[in-house]
Amino acid sequence: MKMKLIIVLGFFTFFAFTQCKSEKKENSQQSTEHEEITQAFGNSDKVVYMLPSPDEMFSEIFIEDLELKPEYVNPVTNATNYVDIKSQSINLGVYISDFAYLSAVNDNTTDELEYLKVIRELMDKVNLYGIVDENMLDRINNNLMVKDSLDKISQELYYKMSNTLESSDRNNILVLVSTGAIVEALYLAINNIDFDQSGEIIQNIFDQKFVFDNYYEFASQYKDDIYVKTVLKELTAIKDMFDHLDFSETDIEVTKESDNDFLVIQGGKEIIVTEEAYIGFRENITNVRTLLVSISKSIN
Amino acid sequence: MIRMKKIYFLLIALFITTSAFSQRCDNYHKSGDCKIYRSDGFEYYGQSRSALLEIKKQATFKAVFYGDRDYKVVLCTDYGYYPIHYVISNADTQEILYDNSEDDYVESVGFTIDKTQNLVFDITVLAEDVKPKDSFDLRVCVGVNIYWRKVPKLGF
Repeated sequence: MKMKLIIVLGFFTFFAFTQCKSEKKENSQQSTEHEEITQAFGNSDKVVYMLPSPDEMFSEIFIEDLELKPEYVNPVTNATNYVDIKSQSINLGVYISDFAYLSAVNDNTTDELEYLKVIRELMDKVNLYGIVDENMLDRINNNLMVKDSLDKISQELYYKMSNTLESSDRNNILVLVSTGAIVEALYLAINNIDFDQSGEIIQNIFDQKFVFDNYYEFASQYKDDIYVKTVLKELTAIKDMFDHLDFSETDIEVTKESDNDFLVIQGGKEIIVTEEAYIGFRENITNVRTLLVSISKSIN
Repeated sequence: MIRMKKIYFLLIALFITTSAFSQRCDNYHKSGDCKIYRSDGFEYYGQSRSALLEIKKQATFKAVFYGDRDYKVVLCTDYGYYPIHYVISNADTQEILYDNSEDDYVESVGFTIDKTQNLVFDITVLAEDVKPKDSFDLRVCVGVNIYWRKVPKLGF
Protein backbone atom coordinates (compact mmCIF):
# COMPACT_ATOMS: atom_id res chain seq x y z
CA MET A 1 0.00 0.00 0.00
CA LYS A 2 2.83 2.34 1.03
CA MET A 3 4.61 1.55 -2.20
CA LYS A 4 1.49 2.53 -4.16
CA LEU A 5 1.27 5.79 -2.22
CA ILE A 6 4.94 6.55 -2.92
CA ILE A 7 4.44 5.92 -6.64
CA VAL A 8 1.37 8.16 -6.78
CA LEU A 9 3.10 10.87 -4.73
CA GLY A 10 6.16 10.58 -6.95
CA PHE A 11 4.03 11.01 -10.06
CA PHE A 12 2.27 14.07 -8.74
CA THR A 13 5.49 15.62 -7.41
CA PHE A 14 7.02 15.13 -10.84
CA PHE A 15 3.88 16.56 -12.43
CA ALA A 16 3.88 19.55 -10.06
CA PHE A 17 7.47 20.37 -10.96
CA THR A 18 6.98 19.99 -14.68
CA GLN A 19 3.80 22.02 -14.37
CA CYS A 20 5.77 24.73 -12.56
CA LYS A 21 8.25 24.72 -15.40
CA SER A 22 5.66 24.81 -18.11
CA GLU A 23 3.66 27.32 -16.10
CA LYS A 24 6.77 29.48 -16.00
CA LYS A 25 7.12 29.06 -19.73
CA GLU A 26 3.42 29.66 -20.09
CA ASN A 27 3.75 32.76 -17.92
CA SER A 28 6.56 34.14 -20.00
CA GLN A 29 4.60 33.30 -23.13
CA GLN A 30 1.56 34.90 -21.58
CA SER A 31 3.51 37.95 -20.58
CA THR A 32 4.78 38.30 -24.16
CA GLU A 33 1.24 37.87 -25.32
CA HIS A 34 0.10 40.30 -22.69
CA GLU A 35 2.66 42.84 -23.85
CA GLU A 36 1.37 42.32 -27.35
CA ILE A 37 -2.21 42.75 -26.21
CA THR A 38 -1.45 45.79 -24.06
CA GLN A 39 0.39 47.14 -27.04
CA ALA A 40 -2.65 46.52 -29.15
CA PHE A 41 -5.26 47.51 -26.62
CA GLY A 42 -3.52 49.77 -24.11
CA ASN A 43 -2.16 52.43 -26.42
CA SER A 44 -4.68 54.74 -27.88
CA ASP A 45 -2.93 54.61 -31.27
CA LYS A 46 -3.07 50.79 -31.43
CA VAL A 47 -6.29 49.10 -32.35
CA VAL A 48 -7.26 45.47 -32.87
CA TYR A 49 -8.39 45.05 -36.47
CA MET A 50 -10.69 42.22 -37.37
CA LEU A 51 -10.59 41.00 -40.94
CA PRO A 52 -13.20 38.69 -42.45
CA SER A 53 -12.06 35.40 -43.90
CA PRO A 54 -12.12 35.05 -47.74
CA ASP A 55 -15.20 32.81 -47.63
CA GLU A 56 -17.03 35.47 -45.59
CA MET A 57 -16.07 38.05 -48.21
CA PHE A 58 -17.33 35.80 -51.03
CA SER A 59 -20.59 35.04 -49.24
CA GLU A 60 -21.09 38.78 -48.81
CA ILE A 61 -20.33 39.51 -52.47
CA PHE A 62 -22.06 36.65 -54.28
CA ILE A 63 -25.54 37.03 -52.89
CA GLU A 64 -27.12 35.25 -55.83
CA ASP A 65 -26.10 32.07 -57.61
CA LEU A 66 -23.53 32.92 -60.24
CA GLU A 67 -21.44 30.80 -62.46
CA LEU A 68 -18.01 31.08 -60.91
CA LYS A 69 -14.88 31.03 -63.05
CA PRO A 70 -12.31 28.61 -61.61
CA GLU A 71 -9.94 29.36 -64.50
CA TYR A 72 -8.91 32.55 -62.68
CA VAL A 73 -7.39 30.85 -59.62
CA ASN A 74 -3.63 30.53 -59.24
CA PRO A 75 -2.62 27.07 -60.57
CA VAL A 76 -1.32 24.69 -57.90
CA THR A 77 1.70 24.00 -60.10
CA ASN A 78 3.03 27.48 -59.31
CA ALA A 79 3.42 26.65 -55.61
CA THR A 80 6.84 24.98 -55.90
CA ASN A 81 8.25 28.12 -57.47
CA TYR A 82 7.75 30.26 -54.37
CA VAL A 83 11.08 29.89 -52.63
CA ASP A 84 11.37 32.85 -50.26
CA ILE A 85 9.34 33.40 -47.11
CA LYS A 86 7.67 36.51 -48.50
CA SER A 87 6.28 34.95 -51.66
CA GLN A 88 5.43 31.76 -49.77
CA SER A 89 3.40 33.71 -47.19
CA ILE A 90 1.65 35.91 -49.75
CA ASN A 91 0.75 32.97 -51.94
CA LEU A 92 -0.41 30.99 -48.94
CA GLY A 93 -3.05 33.72 -48.62
CA VAL A 94 -3.72 33.56 -52.37
CA TYR A 95 -4.33 29.80 -52.21
CA ILE A 96 -6.56 30.16 -49.12
CA SER A 97 -8.78 32.52 -51.13
CA ASP A 98 -8.65 30.16 -54.12
CA PHE A 99 -9.74 27.31 -51.86
CA ALA A 100 -12.65 29.39 -50.51
CA TYR A 101 -13.65 30.34 -54.07
CA LEU A 102 -13.46 26.77 -55.38
CA SER A 103 -15.48 25.60 -52.37
CA ALA A 104 -18.28 27.89 -53.52
CA VAL A 105 -18.36 26.24 -56.96
CA ASN A 106 -20.88 23.45 -57.15
CA ASP A 107 -19.01 20.94 -59.27
CA ASN A 108 -17.91 17.36 -59.12
CA THR A 109 -14.18 17.92 -59.12
CA THR A 110 -11.66 17.37 -56.37
CA ASP A 111 -9.70 20.57 -56.99
CA GLU A 112 -10.35 21.71 -53.42
CA LEU A 113 -8.25 18.83 -52.09
CA GLU A 114 -5.34 19.75 -54.34
CA TYR A 115 -5.50 23.32 -53.10
CA LEU A 116 -5.66 22.21 -49.50
CA LYS A 117 -2.56 20.09 -49.99
CA VAL A 118 -0.71 23.09 -51.42
CA ILE A 119 -1.90 25.21 -48.49
CA ARG A 120 -0.50 22.62 -46.11
CA GLU A 121 2.85 22.56 -47.92
CA LEU A 122 3.15 26.34 -47.84
CA MET A 123 2.09 26.43 -44.19
CA ASP A 124 4.89 24.00 -43.36
CA LYS A 125 7.33 26.19 -45.25
CA VAL A 126 6.40 29.23 -43.16
CA ASN A 127 6.52 27.17 -39.94
CA LEU A 128 2.79 26.81 -39.40
CA TYR A 129 2.42 23.18 -38.53
CA GLY A 130 -0.65 21.15 -37.70
CA ILE A 131 -3.36 23.50 -38.96
CA VAL A 132 -4.23 21.35 -41.95
CA ASP A 133 -4.11 17.87 -40.48
CA GLU A 134 -5.27 14.49 -41.75
CA ASN A 135 -8.56 15.01 -39.96
CA MET A 136 -9.23 18.18 -41.96
CA LEU A 137 -8.30 16.47 -45.23
CA ASP A 138 -10.71 13.65 -44.38
CA ARG A 139 -13.45 16.15 -43.59
CA ILE A 140 -12.89 17.84 -46.96
CA ASN A 141 -12.94 14.47 -48.70
CA ASN A 142 -16.24 13.60 -47.05
CA ASN A 143 -17.80 16.98 -47.80
CA LEU A 144 -16.61 17.66 -51.34
CA MET A 145 -20.18 18.08 -52.51
CA VAL A 146 -21.45 19.97 -49.48
CA LYS A 147 -20.80 23.66 -50.09
CA ASP A 148 -21.77 24.85 -46.58
CA SER A 149 -19.42 22.39 -44.90
CA LEU A 150 -16.55 23.42 -47.16
CA ASP A 151 -17.25 27.08 -46.33
CA LYS A 152 -17.06 26.27 -42.63
CA ILE A 153 -13.79 24.38 -43.07
CA SER A 154 -12.34 27.25 -45.09
CA GLN A 155 -13.32 29.77 -42.41
CA GLU A 156 -11.95 27.55 -39.64
CA LEU A 157 -8.66 27.22 -41.51
CA TYR A 158 -8.27 30.98 -41.94
CA TYR A 159 -9.05 31.91 -38.35
CA LYS A 160 -6.93 29.09 -36.91
CA MET A 161 -4.00 30.35 -38.96
CA SER A 162 -4.52 34.01 -37.96
CA ASN A 163 -4.78 33.09 -34.28
CA THR A 164 -1.62 31.01 -34.45
CA LEU A 165 0.34 33.79 -36.13
CA GLU A 166 -0.96 36.44 -33.75
CA SER A 167 -0.32 34.49 -30.60
CA SER A 168 3.21 33.61 -31.72
CA ASP A 169 3.95 37.29 -32.39
CA ARG A 170 4.36 36.80 -36.15
CA ASN A 171 2.08 39.60 -37.24
CA ASN A 172 4.39 40.49 -40.13
CA ILE A 173 3.70 37.06 -41.66
CA LEU A 174 0.00 37.51 -40.94
CA VAL A 175 0.11 40.78 -42.90
CA LEU A 176 1.67 38.98 -45.88
CA VAL A 177 -0.85 36.13 -45.80
CA SER A 178 -3.74 38.62 -45.44
CA THR A 179 -2.36 40.60 -48.39
CA GLY A 180 -2.48 37.55 -50.64
CA ALA A 181 -5.91 36.55 -49.36
CA ILE A 182 -7.56 39.93 -49.78
CA VAL A 183 -6.04 40.75 -53.17
CA GLU A 184 -6.93 37.31 -54.54
CA ALA A 185 -10.49 37.53 -53.20
CA LEU A 186 -10.99 40.94 -54.85
CA TYR A 187 -9.35 39.74 -58.07
CA LEU A 188 -11.59 36.66 -58.33
CA ALA A 189 -14.69 38.66 -57.46
CA ILE A 190 -14.17 41.48 -59.97
CA ASN A 191 -13.21 39.09 -62.77
CA ASN A 192 -16.33 37.07 -62.13
CA ILE A 193 -18.69 39.75 -63.25
CA ASP A 194 -19.13 42.33 -66.01
CA PHE A 195 -20.22 45.87 -65.22
CA ASP A 196 -23.69 45.49 -66.69
CA GLN A 197 -24.36 42.09 -65.11
CA SER A 198 -25.52 42.79 -61.55
CA GLY A 199 -25.41 46.19 -59.91
CA GLU A 200 -25.86 44.80 -56.43
CA ILE A 201 -22.95 42.38 -56.69
CA ILE A 202 -20.67 45.10 -58.03
CA GLN A 203 -21.74 47.38 -55.18
CA ASN A 204 -20.86 44.55 -52.76
CA ILE A 205 -17.43 44.19 -54.36
CA PHE A 206 -16.77 47.91 -53.94
CA ASP A 207 -17.99 47.70 -50.32
CA GLN A 208 -14.92 45.56 -49.65
CA LYS A 209 -13.11 48.91 -49.58
CA PHE A 210 -14.00 49.00 -45.87
CA VAL A 211 -12.29 45.64 -45.37
CA PHE A 212 -9.29 46.85 -47.36
CA ASP A 213 -9.09 50.03 -45.24
CA ASN A 214 -9.02 47.95 -42.07
CA TYR A 215 -6.45 45.60 -43.53
CA TYR A 216 -4.26 48.52 -44.65
CA GLU A 217 -4.37 50.20 -41.23
CA PHE A 218 -3.55 46.87 -39.59
CA ALA A 219 -0.64 46.29 -41.99
CA SER A 220 0.67 49.82 -41.46
CA GLN A 221 1.24 49.00 -37.78
CA TYR A 222 4.08 46.76 -38.97
CA LYS A 223 5.46 49.01 -41.69
CA ASP A 224 8.95 48.90 -40.17
CA ASP A 225 9.19 45.27 -41.15
CA ILE A 226 11.01 45.01 -44.48
CA TYR A 227 8.51 42.55 -46.00
CA VAL A 228 5.51 44.60 -44.93
CA LYS A 229 7.11 47.80 -46.15
CA THR A 230 7.58 46.45 -49.68
CA VAL A 231 4.11 44.92 -49.79
CA LEU A 232 2.49 48.19 -48.73
CA LYS A 233 4.38 49.93 -51.51
CA GLU A 234 3.02 47.45 -54.03
CA LEU A 235 -0.51 48.05 -52.82
CA THR A 236 -0.37 51.81 -53.34
CA ALA A 237 -2.31 51.57 -56.61
CA ILE A 238 -5.23 49.81 -54.91
CA LYS A 239 -5.13 52.16 -51.93
CA ASP A 240 -5.18 55.23 -54.20
CA MET A 241 -7.98 53.78 -56.27
CA PHE A 242 -10.11 53.17 -53.18
CA ASP A 243 -9.27 56.58 -51.71
CA HIS A 244 -10.44 58.36 -54.85
CA LEU A 245 -13.85 56.75 -55.16
CA ASP A 246 -16.88 59.00 -55.07
CA PHE A 247 -19.36 58.70 -52.23
CA SER A 248 -22.84 59.79 -51.46
CA GLU A 249 -23.19 60.54 -47.78
CA THR A 250 -26.16 60.88 -45.49
CA ASP A 251 -26.27 61.62 -41.76
CA ILE A 252 -26.24 58.56 -39.56
CA GLU A 253 -29.40 58.12 -37.54
CA VAL A 254 -29.87 55.63 -34.75
CA THR A 255 -33.35 54.66 -33.61
CA LYS A 256 -34.60 51.91 -31.34
CA GLU A 257 -37.24 49.40 -32.45
CA SER A 258 -39.95 49.56 -29.83
CA ASP A 259 -40.77 45.86 -29.73
CA ASN A 260 -37.37 44.23 -29.40
CA ASP A 261 -34.77 46.85 -28.38
CA PHE A 262 -32.99 46.41 -31.70
CA LEU A 263 -31.10 49.50 -32.84
CA VAL A 264 -31.61 50.62 -36.40
CA ILE A 265 -28.54 52.33 -37.80
CA GLN A 266 -29.33 54.17 -41.01
CA GLY A 267 -27.20 56.34 -43.21
CA GLY A 268 -23.48 56.77 -43.70
CA LYS A 269 -21.31 56.56 -46.78
CA GLU A 270 -22.25 54.76 -49.97
CA ILE A 271 -19.77 54.29 -52.80
CA ILE A 272 -20.94 55.55 -56.20
CA VAL A 273 -20.01 52.85 -58.68
CA THR A 274 -19.46 54.00 -62.25
CA GLU A 275 -18.20 52.02 -65.22
CA GLU A 276 -14.97 54.02 -65.08
CA ALA A 277 -14.50 53.09 -61.40
CA TYR A 278 -15.23 49.45 -62.24
CA ILE A 279 -12.62 49.38 -65.02
CA GLY A 280 -10.06 51.12 -62.79
CA PHE A 281 -10.72 48.63 -59.99
CA ARG A 282 -10.35 45.67 -62.36
CA GLU A 283 -7.11 46.97 -63.87
CA ASN A 284 -5.45 47.87 -60.58
CA ILE A 285 -6.37 44.68 -58.79
CA THR A 286 -5.30 42.54 -61.77
CA ASN A 287 -1.92 44.27 -62.00
CA VAL A 288 -1.18 43.87 -58.30
CA ARG A 289 -2.39 40.29 -58.24
CA THR A 290 -0.23 39.41 -61.26
CA LEU A 291 2.75 40.82 -59.41
CA LEU A 292 1.99 38.86 -56.24
CA VAL A 293 1.63 35.47 -57.91
CA SER A 294 4.49 35.90 -60.34
CA ILE A 295 7.46 33.81 -59.40
CA SER A 296 9.49 35.38 -56.58
CA LYS A 297 10.85 38.21 -58.67
CA SER A 298 7.81 40.15 -57.47
CA ILE A 299 7.90 42.82 -54.78
CA ASN A 300 11.57 42.56 -53.96
CA MET B 1 -7.73 3.71 3.95
CA ILE B 2 -9.70 6.95 4.57
CA ARG B 3 -6.40 8.80 4.87
CA MET B 4 -5.34 7.39 1.51
CA LYS B 5 -8.59 8.57 -0.08
CA LYS B 6 -8.04 12.06 1.34
CA ILE B 7 -4.55 12.17 -0.13
CA TYR B 8 -5.83 11.03 -3.56
CA PHE B 9 -8.58 13.66 -3.38
CA LEU B 10 -6.09 16.43 -2.56
CA LEU B 11 -3.78 15.35 -5.35
CA ILE B 12 -6.58 15.28 -7.91
CA ALA B 13 -7.71 18.74 -6.75
CA LEU B 14 -4.12 19.98 -7.16
CA PHE B 15 -4.03 18.52 -10.68
CA ILE B 16 -7.27 20.19 -11.72
CA THR B 17 -6.31 23.58 -10.26
CA THR B 18 -2.90 23.72 -11.92
CA SER B 19 -4.38 22.70 -15.25
CA ALA B 20 -7.03 25.37 -14.99
CA PHE B 21 -4.47 28.11 -14.36
CA SER B 22 -2.55 27.15 -17.45
CA GLN B 23 -5.55 27.89 -19.68
CA ARG B 24 -5.56 31.08 -21.73
CA CYS B 25 -8.22 33.25 -23.35
CA ASP B 26 -8.29 31.40 -26.68
CA ASN B 27 -11.88 30.86 -27.81
CA TYR B 28 -13.17 32.42 -24.61
CA HIS B 29 -15.88 34.11 -26.72
CA LYS B 30 -17.27 30.68 -27.55
CA SER B 31 -17.89 29.96 -23.87
CA GLY B 32 -21.05 30.20 -21.74
CA ASP B 33 -21.86 33.87 -21.15
CA CYS B 34 -21.04 34.86 -24.72
CA LYS B 35 -23.45 32.43 -26.36
CA ILE B 36 -26.92 33.23 -27.54
CA TYR B 37 -29.40 30.47 -26.95
CA ARG B 38 -32.10 31.39 -29.49
CA SER B 39 -30.48 31.62 -32.88
CA ASP B 40 -33.44 33.12 -34.83
CA GLY B 41 -31.49 32.60 -38.02
CA PHE B 42 -28.34 34.29 -36.68
CA GLU B 43 -25.02 32.73 -37.60
CA TYR B 44 -21.63 33.00 -35.97
CA TYR B 45 -19.53 35.81 -37.49
CA GLY B 46 -15.87 34.87 -37.85
CA GLN B 47 -14.64 38.25 -36.63
CA SER B 48 -15.65 37.35 -33.07
CA ARG B 49 -12.71 37.45 -30.75
CA SER B 50 -11.22 37.02 -27.27
CA ALA B 51 -8.45 38.90 -25.51
CA LEU B 52 -6.79 39.28 -22.16
CA LEU B 53 -7.54 42.80 -20.91
CA GLU B 54 -6.51 44.87 -17.92
CA ILE B 55 -9.45 45.94 -15.84
CA LYS B 56 -10.45 49.62 -15.93
CA LYS B 57 -8.33 50.17 -19.03
CA GLN B 58 -9.93 50.91 -22.40
CA ALA B 59 -9.35 48.55 -25.31
CA THR B 60 -10.33 49.20 -28.92
CA PHE B 61 -11.64 46.74 -31.47
CA LYS B 62 -12.49 47.60 -35.07
CA ALA B 63 -14.45 45.51 -37.57
CA VAL B 64 -16.43 45.80 -40.78
CA PHE B 65 -20.19 45.42 -40.48
CA TYR B 66 -21.92 44.83 -43.79
CA GLY B 67 -25.08 46.62 -44.84
CA ASP B 68 -28.54 45.01 -44.90
CA ARG B 69 -27.59 42.75 -42.02
CA ASP B 70 -28.81 42.22 -38.49
CA TYR B 71 -26.13 41.79 -35.86
CA LYS B 72 -26.05 40.66 -32.26
CA VAL B 73 -22.92 41.43 -30.29
CA VAL B 74 -22.41 39.77 -26.91
CA LEU B 75 -19.58 40.67 -24.53
CA CYS B 76 -18.55 38.42 -21.68
CA THR B 77 -15.94 38.14 -18.97
CA ASP B 78 -15.35 36.16 -15.77
CA TYR B 79 -17.87 36.19 -12.96
CA GLY B 80 -17.06 39.04 -10.56
CA TYR B 81 -15.49 41.27 -13.22
CA TYR B 82 -18.72 42.71 -14.60
CA PRO B 83 -19.93 45.22 -15.65
CA ILE B 84 -18.32 45.79 -19.03
CA HIS B 85 -18.68 49.25 -20.50
CA TYR B 86 -18.64 49.58 -24.28
CA VAL B 87 -19.21 52.37 -26.71
CA ILE B 88 -19.86 51.78 -30.41
CA SER B 89 -18.89 54.49 -32.88
CA ASN B 90 -18.48 54.95 -36.61
CA ALA B 91 -14.80 54.74 -37.54
CA ASP B 92 -14.97 57.48 -40.19
CA THR B 93 -17.02 60.10 -38.43
CA GLN B 94 -16.24 59.03 -34.84
CA GLU B 95 -19.93 59.55 -34.17
CA ILE B 96 -21.12 57.60 -31.13
CA LEU B 97 -23.90 55.19 -32.09
CA TYR B 98 -24.45 53.41 -28.81
CA ASP B 99 -23.22 53.54 -25.22
CA ASN B 100 -24.31 50.66 -22.99
CA SER B 101 -24.00 52.81 -19.85
CA GLU B 102 -27.38 54.20 -20.91
CA ASP B 103 -28.82 50.70 -20.62
CA ASP B 104 -27.35 49.68 -17.24
CA TYR B 105 -24.27 48.16 -18.90
CA VAL B 106 -26.26 45.46 -20.68
CA GLU B 107 -23.82 42.90 -22.11
CA SER B 108 -25.43 42.43 -25.50
CA VAL B 109 -26.73 44.68 -28.23
CA GLY B 110 -28.62 43.97 -31.42
CA PHE B 111 -28.65 46.26 -34.41
CA THR B 112 -29.67 46.48 -38.03
CA ILE B 113 -27.36 48.33 -40.35
CA ASP B 114 -28.32 49.53 -43.83
CA LYS B 115 -24.91 50.59 -45.19
CA THR B 116 -21.57 48.85 -44.80
CA GLN B 117 -19.32 50.63 -42.33
CA ASN B 118 -16.37 50.19 -40.04
CA LEU B 119 -17.45 50.24 -36.42
CA VAL B 120 -15.21 50.82 -33.43
CA PHE B 121 -15.88 49.18 -30.06
CA ASP B 122 -14.22 50.87 -27.09
CA ILE B 123 -14.35 48.33 -24.29
CA THR B 124 -13.57 48.77 -20.59
CA VAL B 125 -13.94 46.06 -17.97
CA LEU B 126 -15.21 48.09 -15.03
CA ALA B 127 -15.00 45.24 -12.51
CA GLU B 128 -16.72 47.38 -9.89
CA ASP B 129 -16.47 44.76 -7.16
CA VAL B 130 -12.78 44.08 -7.70
CA LYS B 131 -10.42 46.04 -5.46
CA PRO B 132 -6.76 46.05 -6.48
CA LYS B 133 -5.65 44.89 -3.03
CA ASP B 134 -7.93 41.87 -2.90
CA SER B 135 -7.92 40.83 -6.53
CA PHE B 136 -5.95 37.81 -7.61
CA ASP B 137 -5.25 39.26 -11.00
CA LEU B 138 -6.03 42.57 -12.63
CA ARG B 139 -6.19 40.97 -16.06
CA VAL B 140 -9.17 39.04 -17.25
CA CYS B 141 -10.40 37.31 -20.40
CA VAL B 142 -12.99 39.19 -22.40
CA GLY B 143 -14.94 37.73 -25.30
CA VAL B 144 -16.69 39.63 -28.06
CA ASN B 145 -19.03 37.28 -29.85
CA ILE B 146 -20.74 38.50 -33.00
CA TYR B 147 -23.70 36.90 -34.77
CA TRP B 148 -25.21 38.00 -38.08
CA ARG B 149 -28.06 37.30 -40.44
CA LYS B 150 -29.39 38.84 -43.63
CA VAL B 151 -32.18 41.30 -42.94
CA PRO B 152 -35.36 39.23 -43.33
CA LYS B 153 -37.61 40.38 -46.14
CA LEU B 154 -40.96 41.75 -45.07
CA GLY B 155 -44.28 40.96 -46.74
CA PHE B 156 -45.59 38.03 -48.74
